[in-house]
Amino acid sequence: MTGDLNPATQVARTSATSLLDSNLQSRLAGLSFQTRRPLEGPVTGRHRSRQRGFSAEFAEHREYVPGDDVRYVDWKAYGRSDRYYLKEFEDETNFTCWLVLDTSESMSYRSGTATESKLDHARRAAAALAWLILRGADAVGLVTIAGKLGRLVPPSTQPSHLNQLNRAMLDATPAGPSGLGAAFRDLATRLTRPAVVICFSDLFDDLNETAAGLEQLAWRGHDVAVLQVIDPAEEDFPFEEPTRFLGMEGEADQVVEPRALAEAYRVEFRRFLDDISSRCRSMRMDHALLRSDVPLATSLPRFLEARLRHPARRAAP
Amino acid sequence: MTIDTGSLLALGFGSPWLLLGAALAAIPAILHLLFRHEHRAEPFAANRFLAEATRKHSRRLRFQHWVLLIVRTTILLLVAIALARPFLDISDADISNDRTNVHHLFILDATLSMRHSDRGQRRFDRGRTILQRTVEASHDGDTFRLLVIRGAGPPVVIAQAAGRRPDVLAELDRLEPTWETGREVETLQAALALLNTPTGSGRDRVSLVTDLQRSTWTPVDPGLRDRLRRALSSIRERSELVIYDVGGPAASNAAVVGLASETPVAIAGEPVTLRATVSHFGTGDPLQRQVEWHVDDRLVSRRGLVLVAGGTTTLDWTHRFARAGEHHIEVRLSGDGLPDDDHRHLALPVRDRLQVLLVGNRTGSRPDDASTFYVDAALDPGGLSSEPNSRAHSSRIVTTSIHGRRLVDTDLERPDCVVLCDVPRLDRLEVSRLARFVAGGGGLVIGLGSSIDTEAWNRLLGEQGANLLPGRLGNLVAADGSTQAAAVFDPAGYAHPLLSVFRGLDDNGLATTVTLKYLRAQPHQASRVALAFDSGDPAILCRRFGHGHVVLVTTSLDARWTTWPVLSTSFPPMVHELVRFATSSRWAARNHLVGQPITRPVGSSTTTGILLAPDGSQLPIQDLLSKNSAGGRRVLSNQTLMPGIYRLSLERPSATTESYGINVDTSESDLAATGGPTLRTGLLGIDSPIYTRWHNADAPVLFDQPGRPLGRILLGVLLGLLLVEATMAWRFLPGVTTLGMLLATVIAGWWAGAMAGAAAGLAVAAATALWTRRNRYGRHRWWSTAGDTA
Repeated sequence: MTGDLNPATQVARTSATSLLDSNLQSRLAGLSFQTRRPLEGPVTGRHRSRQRGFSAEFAEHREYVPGDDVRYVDWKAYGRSDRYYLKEFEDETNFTCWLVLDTSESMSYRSGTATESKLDHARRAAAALAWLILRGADAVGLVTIAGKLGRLVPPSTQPSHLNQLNRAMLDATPAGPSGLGAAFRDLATRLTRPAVVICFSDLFDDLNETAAGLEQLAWRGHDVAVLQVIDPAEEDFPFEEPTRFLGMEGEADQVVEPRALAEAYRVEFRRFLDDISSRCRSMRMDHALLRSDVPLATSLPRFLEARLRHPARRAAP
Repeated sequence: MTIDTGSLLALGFGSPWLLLGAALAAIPAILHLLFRHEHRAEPFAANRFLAEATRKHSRRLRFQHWVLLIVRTTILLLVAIALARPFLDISDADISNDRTNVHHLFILDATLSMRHSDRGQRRFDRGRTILQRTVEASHDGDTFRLLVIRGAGPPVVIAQAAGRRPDVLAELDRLEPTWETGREVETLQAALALLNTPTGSGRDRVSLVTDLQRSTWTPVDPGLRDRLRRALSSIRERSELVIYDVGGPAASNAAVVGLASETPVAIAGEPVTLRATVSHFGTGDPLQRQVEWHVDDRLVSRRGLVLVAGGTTTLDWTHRFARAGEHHIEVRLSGDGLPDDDHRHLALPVRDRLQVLLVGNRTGSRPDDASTFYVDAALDPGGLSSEPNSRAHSSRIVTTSIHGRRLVDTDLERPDCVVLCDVPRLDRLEVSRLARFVAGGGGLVIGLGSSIDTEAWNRLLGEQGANLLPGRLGNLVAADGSTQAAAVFDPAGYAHPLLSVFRGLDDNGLATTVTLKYLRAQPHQASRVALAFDSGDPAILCRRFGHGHVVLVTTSLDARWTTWPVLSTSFPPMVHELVRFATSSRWAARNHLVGQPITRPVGSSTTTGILLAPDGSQLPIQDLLSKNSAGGRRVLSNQTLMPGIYRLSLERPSATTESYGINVDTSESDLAATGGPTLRTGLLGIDSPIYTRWHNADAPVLFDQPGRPLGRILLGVLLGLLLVEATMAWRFLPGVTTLGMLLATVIAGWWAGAMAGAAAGLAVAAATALWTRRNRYGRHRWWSTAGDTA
């Protein structure tokens, strides 16, 4: 017990805790988040590091320079060559994961057939992955995007960091356009060390801009995964009656006879999804759809298992 | 209304004013304009894809919207058009493409009203021209049958389907309108019977050419109207029925509807009152006409007359005939479009005296012992003769008294009236002769008395016998000692014509007459009580029998049962009235309507003679002799098809000539027509596809081919379009498919029949189902791929 009697704080804690449910946790308990490429981390961990270190697996020798730990001097080599060499080993290190959460206006959409908005669905997915990654002693940070980079929560490996992440996600209110491309580029310049970047967004933005931003991230060595969150109505378009559809991010309203246009809309939307998927594939990125009516206990394990199944990818040339 | 669309098609409407409902077709467009800004608003995150889809498919969507709007507008238009009962005329050019043979069945109205002329052309001739043009425009393989609506004669003129057009045209040429009323129901039933006779392949088309006279086609009698409706409906169900209205606008018509003698028996030298009745059938202005009276083809009177529309005028004219014999009176009205009902004939035999045969049962030492004494004295109170049984006086009434036993030998052709006074019984032969006498127009007065054998009278003359008696004779009602009278007369307001002479005379003696005895009589249904006793029992009963009258007095006509002949001043005038009433229709058998037979009983020795018709044609009597139901010989002629005076000349045993007046039935004189809508609603129901047109004699012929009713076709198309609209509003492509199915059905049905239409519709439906199934499988694969991607 912390003894914090502030009701607002209590509500925030309660809400933060509610982003994770026991069913999802038990479903993810046997899984782990696997990186696709060697990454640098601050501490030794389970993941391969781009830095040579001093762990059990030998990598190569290098000459001693003042300041090196003398414990790693290869004395046998000194006896043979009379020179000081240090043994270097392939370093197993932890990694840093940045959760990028799109909080633009379109993420607040929730149709009649969905149980929650896309943003809520993305929050819960991000919270679940954060829990999973923190459990592996890796660091998790958070960035929100709404037209530009928003709130940034620095990464940490502390399990208690999960609450901070959740609270930050809950505090983010949906507003404004996405601006994904610029935000991704901005993020790429800020992240100095390669990390895992997981984007939670509906990607309803200029696709070329978005792809350019993602490409920037990949070029800088980040392991990027795109979890595209969509509402079932956006894919199925189940509307029947003539309706005036109101744009949520400044698009013009559309007066539509759904029965007449449904097929054409579905074609357009499917083409968009295919385009996203194709571009992600070409950039060696993971892309997965998270329909807000599909339980995360179903969709997230599929995503994680897919990462485990596929071999490590090299960065696109 | 008929819309002529050139040489190919002419679209007509039974109720054109209902086309105003076509304005309803603007409703979808108005609704669209009114409510286009009222849509449910829904935030939608993926609006950019909607915009893109709309941009790419805007032309297709606009096209779909227009198609849907056109379908909805068409539905409302079709509703309005269908309510207006459209029909389609097809010209020769179109018919020539129709290779189906047509069995034409012509029904031509030939009744009196079809003789009406308008601008020099009779309705009948106009109708005949229509049929002739139809024959001329027909094709090889078409056949024809012909029926005529008329009174006498069989309705079927051409019974076997005739294929040679010249023969049919010649038969049409030979037809002439009659002066008769028609037997429409019988003719339509005969047409139906012909339709039910197989004639090979082809379709049946019935052309009914008539002036649609209201009195004929919408009769007052509901039973007749129902039979007409059923007959027409049956024909319509069995064939394509087209009615040609050749009557045109309602025409005013005046007619002499009645001519009769108000004097029961015309006697030479005595004034005879003749009464003519003239009617104006129409609703227009009063008509001014000249009325002429002709006696024996000689003009004797002329006067002007103003006839009010819808009114009837009675004209009386008194004439003294200088000599006895057969006379002919004719009333002529100055002409109009239907001259055949503007004159009327009356055959009037004029007698020098009225012959009355008195039949009694007693002769005694005193004259008043005879049962006929008081009647004889009343008819001729001043007559004295040394010959008691056969006296001739200066009176206009000549009486002959005989005993009942001599009745069988007495010639009943001479007397105008027979009076039976307390005749005990009659044998069958006497009864038969009396019945024939009365049926031929003679009068019979029966007085009862103590000699009457009630049982024999009821048996031979009652309902089980000759049915001459006006009532069944019952028990004797006699005065008892205390009252001194069985009954007195109760004149009941002198309502009966027999008592009209006593009306207004307070001391006429009728009410004070004491009746001691009478026979209670039970009146028959056809009888009427002219005078009753105060007990309520009938005192005088009357009935018609054939052309004559029978009068039964339930007490005696002598002084044995009543004080009437002795003490009452009412007896002599009453006897006169009895004879007058009994002979009032003495010459009714001489005047008939067209088509009614001339009947005259003749003796066994009559073998030669002629019947001379008004047009001068002669029929030998030998061809007209027949036997009546009682076995007697008679002259019977049904050939009274023309109005005028017919003269029957018999050469044996004595040369006599009798005149018979034949007149038209003026029920045909009312030329008011049944309008097309009335005909449809009154006879055929609101949904009937029958249409009517009047062809102006001056107008170019437009009636080469009858039309096809479009009501049912439109209804089918309407239902199909409703289905198309519902499907199209759901999904455009299935809607288009349904529309294609509908069009295929209509086109194939129009050209090749209902079965072909249904087959074409089913074929389109099957092809569409196959295509949809294939398309749906493809779509499943597409979605499956997408799912894998996700």
